[in-house]
Amino acid sequence: MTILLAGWLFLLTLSLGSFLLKKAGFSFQGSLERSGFALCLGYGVIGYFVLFIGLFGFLNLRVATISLGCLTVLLVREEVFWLKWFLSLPQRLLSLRKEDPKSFYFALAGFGVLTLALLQAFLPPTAHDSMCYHLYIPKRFVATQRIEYLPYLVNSLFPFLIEMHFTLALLFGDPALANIFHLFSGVGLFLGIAALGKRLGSLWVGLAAGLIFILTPGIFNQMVITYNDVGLAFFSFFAFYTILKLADERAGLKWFVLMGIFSGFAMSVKYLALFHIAALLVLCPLTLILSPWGGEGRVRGARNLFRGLPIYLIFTFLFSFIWYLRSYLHEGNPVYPFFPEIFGGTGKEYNFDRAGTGKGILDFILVFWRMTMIPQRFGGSWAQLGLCYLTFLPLVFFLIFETFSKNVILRPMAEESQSRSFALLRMTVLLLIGFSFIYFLFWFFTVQNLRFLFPLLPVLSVLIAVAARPYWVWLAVLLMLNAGFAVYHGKSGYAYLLGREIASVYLGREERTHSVAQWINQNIPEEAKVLNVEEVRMFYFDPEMIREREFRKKTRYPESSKTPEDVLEVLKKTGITHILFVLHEETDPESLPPLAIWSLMQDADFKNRYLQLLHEQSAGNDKYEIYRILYPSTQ
Amino acid sequence: MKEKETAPLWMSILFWLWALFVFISYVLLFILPELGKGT
Repeated sequence: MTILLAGWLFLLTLSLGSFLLKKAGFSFQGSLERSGFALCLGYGVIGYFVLFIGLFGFLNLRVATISLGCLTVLLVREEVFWLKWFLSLPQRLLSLRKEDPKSFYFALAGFGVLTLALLQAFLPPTAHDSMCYHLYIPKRFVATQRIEYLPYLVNSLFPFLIEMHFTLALLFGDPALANIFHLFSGVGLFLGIAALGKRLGSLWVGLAAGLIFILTPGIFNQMVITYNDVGLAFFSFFAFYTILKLADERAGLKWFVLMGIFSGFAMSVKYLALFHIAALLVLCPLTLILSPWGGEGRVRGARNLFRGLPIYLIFTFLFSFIWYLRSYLHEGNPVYPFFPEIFGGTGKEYNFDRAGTGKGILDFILVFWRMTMIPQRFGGSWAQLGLCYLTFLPLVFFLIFETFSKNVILRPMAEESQSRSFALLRMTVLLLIGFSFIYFLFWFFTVQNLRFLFPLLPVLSVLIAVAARPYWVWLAVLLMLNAGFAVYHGKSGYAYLLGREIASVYLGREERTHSVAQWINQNIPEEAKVLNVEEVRMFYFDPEMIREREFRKKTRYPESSKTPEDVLEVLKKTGITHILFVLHEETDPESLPPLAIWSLMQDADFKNRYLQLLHEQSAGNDKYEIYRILYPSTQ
Repeated sequence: MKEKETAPLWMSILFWLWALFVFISYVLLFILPELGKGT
């Protein structure tokens, strides 16, 4: 069932985007390029569709199915076209075998990697941030049938466009579908990168770059789970791709609209999308200088740019402002919970130094080396880049000289391609380098977390593939090493995926909350409210979980109460009925005020009078206790 | 389409030295410690 739903929604997303692009008169260099742009546009539009039905309180299966079903009927011609296109791919692949065997094997490998990714996406979700909010918040949206503010979860006001897809998946009652929805962005990126390589004159460059990207261990590990960084990379890559089309084809103003829409989608995923917008704003004027077109073409380009940039910014704003407005209306801070020192209210200051190794000159020179060798310092080894980037990076630097001087890599590539002149190729490579460098500078001087570098990787992977052409055998070896990492990544789930293990056994082993969540779901009514002291992984709990830490921060109940009974009064007013108490090894009671629930629960008299222990159990090093609150008037 | 091997000798020597150095460092500094963690 999951695969059928995923197939239907993939085709619908692609067809919707393709239909809109066709109606608006956008033209592309072949179906490969069109497919990437169409998937990207459709993906964003479907996300906004879920947001709007949710904001108006119609977030239920019936509305979603009927709307998407009607859309499917309306777009039937597009769907037939794309279905035929996908079905013709094996035939095309076979014909490639004779005329370009290297591309054939890389295309085959791309298909294999995406199939492995699809397989791993079927695992029940257990990733940390997914349990905390990427999936838990969509689950609350589905439970209440609307997209609303959850005041005791700071993340619920984040831009959530990718999470709208997770919400749709949960509407269908299928968390694995949410994984697959994130994988759509990986597939779209593979198609887009391949199209960009083809545009550069070499299908092999495109396929190799696509493989470098999807086999980057961090990308592979993340595109099969419910995070959003690959989604952000998806939208920002196509915003960048649009600038290439603008520079390359002297395309009209409507491309600025499309670029704005993609950047708006990116701003609807993460605040960090600002980096790619800054890079694009710098690159736009550069396209005029780099453009191979003559004087008249430059004048027309300058006129276009003068009118196009405001259009770009307006559309970026139009396609993202709603998230920031929502946050501003609820908390008075458009980027809540960050920067409270600027916007006021409760929130937390963002620590820009929490990952990375420093921001000095030596750090800058060594950063790629350190990211590769000690990824733990940059947010975790699971998000590592692998060896491809560092190995071929010196050749990418060499490419910069290549564009000005004697040509060892680029000129032969241009000569082999019938479709591109050297000047065009040089301009495209310089734009790829420019984007990479500007984005990298922003990343380096802000948060050096590997995940936040992902939007750079599709562009960098194209450069790496161009630079690696003379050494493609070594590239293939490194890609095989990355493929080994990809296979190894799913090691704990193959028993489940092969049907030798049921979901509850898999989850019992991989998800620490699974068994306590099962007890709560079976013994506590779904409409109960549980004060959660303090388990951050909440997805598998059906009743509403209120995180004590955030509840305390928001209500400041320990400060406003004089007695334990006052504290209970605050809990009662909020409708809290139960307490989930977790004794983590690392809990530090010293830092808590005396009237915080954690402190009160150390008092045997308080527990005896006001709490009834319903259940207790251990999970690894943690011990869970579940209490019903006996409010004074109900005793 | 057949793509040419285009790199000159000096470039290839430098590249292979670098590639080997990076690969060995990666095995010693990342892969082996990670495998050690797992056991």
